[in-house]
Amino acid sequence: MRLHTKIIFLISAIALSVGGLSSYIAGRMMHRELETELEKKGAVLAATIAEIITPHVMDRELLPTQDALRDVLFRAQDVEYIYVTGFDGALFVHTFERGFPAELLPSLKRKLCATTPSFTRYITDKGPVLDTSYCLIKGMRGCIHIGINKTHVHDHIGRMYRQIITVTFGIVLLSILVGTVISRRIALPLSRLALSLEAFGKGRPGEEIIVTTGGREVSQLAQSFNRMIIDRAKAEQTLRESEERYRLLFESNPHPMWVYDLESLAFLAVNDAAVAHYGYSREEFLGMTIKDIRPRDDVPALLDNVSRVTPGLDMAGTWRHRKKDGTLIDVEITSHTLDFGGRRAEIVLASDVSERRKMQDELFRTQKIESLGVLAGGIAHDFNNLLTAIMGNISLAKMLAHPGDKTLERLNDAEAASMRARDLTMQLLTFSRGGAPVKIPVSLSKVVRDAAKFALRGSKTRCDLSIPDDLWAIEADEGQISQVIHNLVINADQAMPHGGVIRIACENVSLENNEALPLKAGRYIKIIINDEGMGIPKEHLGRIFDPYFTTKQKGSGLGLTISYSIIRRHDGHITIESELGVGTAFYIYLPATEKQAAEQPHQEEKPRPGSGRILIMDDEEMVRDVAGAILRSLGYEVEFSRDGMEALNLYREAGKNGRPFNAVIMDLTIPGGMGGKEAVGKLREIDPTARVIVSSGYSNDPIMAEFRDYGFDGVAIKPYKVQALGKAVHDALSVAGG
Amino acid sequence: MEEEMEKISLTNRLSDNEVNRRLQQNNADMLWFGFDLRSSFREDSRQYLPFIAYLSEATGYKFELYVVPKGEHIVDALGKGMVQFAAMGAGSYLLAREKYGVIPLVRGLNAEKRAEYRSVIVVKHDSPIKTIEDLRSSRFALGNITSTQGHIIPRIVLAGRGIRLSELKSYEYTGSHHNCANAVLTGRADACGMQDTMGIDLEKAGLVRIIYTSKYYPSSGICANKTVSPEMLSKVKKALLDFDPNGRHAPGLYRWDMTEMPNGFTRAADGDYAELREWVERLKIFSEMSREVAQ
Repeated sequence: MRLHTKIIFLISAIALSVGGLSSYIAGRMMHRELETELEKKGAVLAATIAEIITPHVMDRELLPTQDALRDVLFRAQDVEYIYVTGFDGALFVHTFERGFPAELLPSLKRKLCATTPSFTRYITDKGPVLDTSYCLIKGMRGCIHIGINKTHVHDHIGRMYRQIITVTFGIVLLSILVGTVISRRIALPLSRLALSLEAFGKGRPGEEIIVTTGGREVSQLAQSFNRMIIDRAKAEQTLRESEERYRLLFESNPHPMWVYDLESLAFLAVNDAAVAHYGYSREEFLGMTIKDIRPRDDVPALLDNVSRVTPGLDMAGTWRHRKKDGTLIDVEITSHTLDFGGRRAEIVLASDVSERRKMQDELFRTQKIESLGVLAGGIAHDFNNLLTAIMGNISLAKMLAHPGDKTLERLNDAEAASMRARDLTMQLLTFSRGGAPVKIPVSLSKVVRDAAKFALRGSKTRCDLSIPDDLWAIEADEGQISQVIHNLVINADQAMPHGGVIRIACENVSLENNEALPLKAGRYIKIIINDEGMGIPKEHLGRIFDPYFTTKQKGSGLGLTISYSIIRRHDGHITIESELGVGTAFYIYLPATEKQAAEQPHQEEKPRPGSGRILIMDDEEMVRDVAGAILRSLGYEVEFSRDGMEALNLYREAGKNGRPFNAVIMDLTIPGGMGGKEAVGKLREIDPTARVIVSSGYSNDPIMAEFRDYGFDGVAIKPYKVQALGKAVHDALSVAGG
Repeated sequence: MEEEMEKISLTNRLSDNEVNRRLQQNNADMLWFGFDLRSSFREDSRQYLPFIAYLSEATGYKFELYVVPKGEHIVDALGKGMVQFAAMGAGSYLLAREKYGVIPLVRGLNAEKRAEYRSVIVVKHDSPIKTIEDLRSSRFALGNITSTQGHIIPRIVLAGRGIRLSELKSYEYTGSHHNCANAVLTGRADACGMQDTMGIDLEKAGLVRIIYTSKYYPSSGICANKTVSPEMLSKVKKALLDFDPNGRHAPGLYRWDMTEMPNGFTRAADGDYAELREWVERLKIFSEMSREVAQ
C-alpha cells in the first residue's frame, strides 16, 4: 500500500475512532445524566406523594389517596403509573384501569419497602419505564411505586446520537480531505526520496532531490539525503583511493607480503614480491599453507606462535623460510590481524634479512678480531723485545764461535727456534695497531706456489695448482698473503690426515655492486683452496673465523682468524663452504691492481762493519744491551737513552760537547714516554740533518712501511739480527754521507 | 453499557382482589403486631419496630408492625384477627376482652418497675383552678376514649367527686395525651386528665400545674387474639417476660424509656383488671368506647 493511501486510511481511521468513541462517550454521559435526572425526579415525586398520602393510607382513606395520585398523573405526563401498598402489605390503591398488571405482582411481595428511593427499570409494552419505590414510613409496610415512562428520554438520546453521528461523519469526511492533502504534500517528496534511496541502495545514486512541498522537516530530510549522497560519494571515492593505496602498498611492496587464514593457515593472498622472492607462483602459494614455507623443525614453533596471535600489530621476530628451490632465508616477520572476507586472518610482511645477518656477523667477527688484535699486539710487542734480546745474543754468540764448533750448531738451532717464535710473534703483531700491510705490487702466482710448497713439506698431500698466466697483479704485503695461503694449506692438509689432493685455483673476476659479497664493485683475484677432507659441521661454519675457535687438538685457534684479518686489511674478503664428507673450500677475493709486480731479488748479506757514534733509544734494557752489543761488534760507539726526551737531551749535549751522534735508533713506541714518532720531529728541530732509524717489532706498522714520510731515514725491525741492524745503520749513514 | 432491564407487560391485568388474595397467601406465615397510638404513627412505629424485631428473633416467628388509623381501632383489629398481638392500654383491653375475649399476656413495668400507672389532672400554672371541684365550671380535655390514663382514670377521679361529664362547662376527647396537654397550654381547655409521667414532666418544665394525682391502676400490656395457639402464646409470653430493655436488649431500641413499659414486662391476668372493669361498667364507658371504635 502506498504511503499517501496509508496516511489517508490512518487519518480516516483515527477520525472515525475518535468520532465514534466521542459519540459513544457523549451518548453514555448524556444517557446517564438524563437517567440521573429521571431518578431525581422519581425520588422527589415519590417522597412528595408519600408525604401527602401517608395519613390517608394510615386511615385507609381510599378516595383522597386516589385523588392525590390522579392529580400527579395529570400534571406529570411522563408518569406511566403509580401504585401504593398499605401498611398491612396489601395493594391499597393504583392508577391502572381495569386491574393491576400481573407482572408487577412480585414488586408487591417484597416484605419491606426501601427507606430511600430505589429504582427498577422495566421494558414494558408502553415503553421503557423507571420504577421508583419509596416507603411511606421507615421500617414498615406501606410503599409507593411511581413508573416514569422513559420513551421521551430515549427519543431525546436518539436525536442527540443522530446529531453526533452526523457531526462525526462530517469530521471524518473533512479528515479524509485534509489527510489527502497532507499525504500528497508529505508522501510525494517522500516517494521521491524513497525512489532515490532505492536507486542509491542499488548503487545508482540519482540526482539531487529538490523538495518544495512537505514542510520544513521533509525539506530538511531531502537536504540531509542530498548531503548524504555527496558525503557517501566522497567517502566511496576516499575509500577507493585508500583501497587502491593499500592495494598498491600490498601488491607493489618490495618486501614479500601475504595474508593467511588464522584457522587453516592457508595463504589467502600474496604479492608479487613474495612470488618473486620465494619462487612459487601465485597459484602455488594459494594452494599452500604457511607451514609449507617453513623448515620442518620450525613448524611446532610456528604453530605455537600462531596460537598466541593477538589482535593488533605483532613483531614476530626472525624466522627461517624455505624458498621453492630449498634455500633457507632469514626473514623478519611483521604481522597484523585483520578480517579478510569474513575470515580471521593475518597480513604478514616478510623482510629478508639473510644478507644483513651475514653482514652483521661479519662486522661482529671483525670487531672481535680487532679487540683481540689490541691484546695480541701488546703481548707480541713485549715478546718481540724478549726475542730481540735472545736473537741478538745468539747472533753475537755465533760471531764468537769458531766454525765447526758444536756450540755453533746449538746456536743455529736456538736461532731457528727463535725465528719460528718471531714468525708467531709477527703473526700476532699483524692484529696489533701496527699490523697494516706493507703493500707493494705482487704477483700472486709465486706467492701462492711458494707458500703452498712450503706448507706441504713432508706431507702426503698433493697440491694441484691452477693459476692462469694472465693473472692480475695485486697490491699486497707479500709476507701476509703468503701467511694466509700457508695457513689455509696447512688446514687443508690437516683435514686430510691420510693424504689427498688440495686444489688451489686463482682466477680473475669482476664483481658488480649487487653481488652478495661485502666488496666494492671492481676487479678481483679469486683464490679457491679446496680440499677433500672430512668437512666442517654447519654449526661450526659461523664461528670458523672466530679467535681461538678450533677443532684441532694442537691448533692455536688463530690461523684462520689471522688469515681473515689479513684479507680484510687488504680490502678483500674470505668465505668458506663445506660439506661433511665431501670437503671444504675457501674463497679469497683480493683487489687487483694495474701496477706491475716487481721481482724481489734475494741476496745473502754479511754483517757490515762501520764507525761513528750511535744513540740507541729504547725503553727495554735488554734491547738496548743487544743492540749496543751488535753495533759495538761492528765497530760503532754506542750510547743509550730510555725515551725520546732523554735522547733529545743527550743528542743536544753531545753536539754542544763536540762529539755529535752520527745516527740515532729510535724505538717507535715508548710506553709512558716520548716515542720515536714524536721524538724524530723534535730531533729534526735540533738538527735537521740528523740520521734517524726507526725500530719496532711492528713490521707492518704504517710508519715502518712509510718511514720516510714520518721523517726517518731507515728501518730496523725487531728482533734484531746482526746483518739487518748493521745494514740499516750502514745504509742510514751512507745516505748521510752520499 | 446499557443497564439490564426487566421486560414486563403492563397490559396483563389482575383484579385487586386477586392481587390481595395472592399477597395474603404470600404473607400467610406473617404475625401482625398492633398498638394503640401514644404519640404519632412515626414516633410509635420507631419505638415498636426494634421491639418486634426482638420478638421475631426470640420466637422465630415473623412479626410485622400493623398500624391502625386511630388508637381505638386496635380493639377490633386484635379482636377480628387482623393482628395477632397488640400493645394496648387497660381500657382497650377491657373493651377487647369484653367484645372479643382477647388474652392478656403481660403488663408493662413502669419506671418504678410497677405494673401500674395513674393519671394526673393538670391546669395551666396560673390557672385559678385549685381542686377537682373547681372543674365543674371548666372546659375539660381528655385523651383517647379508650385510653386508661387519658379517659378512664380521669373519669373515675371526677366520678369520685360526684362530677359527671355533663356537669362540666364542656369536655372533649383530644385523641392523645399530647393533644390533651396542648389543649391546656393553648387555652382551648382549662384542665386535662392525662398520663402521670407526662404531667409531672410538664409541671417540672413550669408549663402546667398538677391539681390531682390518681391512685394506681393496672398498666397497659400486651394481649393476644384468642385464636392464637397455646404454643405460640407460650413462646411469645416467654419472650416478652425475657425482654430486658435496659440490659442486653437495649441496643437498637428507640426511646423505650418513653413507653409505658420501660422496665419490661410482668405476667398479666384478667383478674388484675377487676377494679378497673367495675368502674368502666359503672360509668358505662364500654358503650362509649364501642361507639367510638365503631366510627
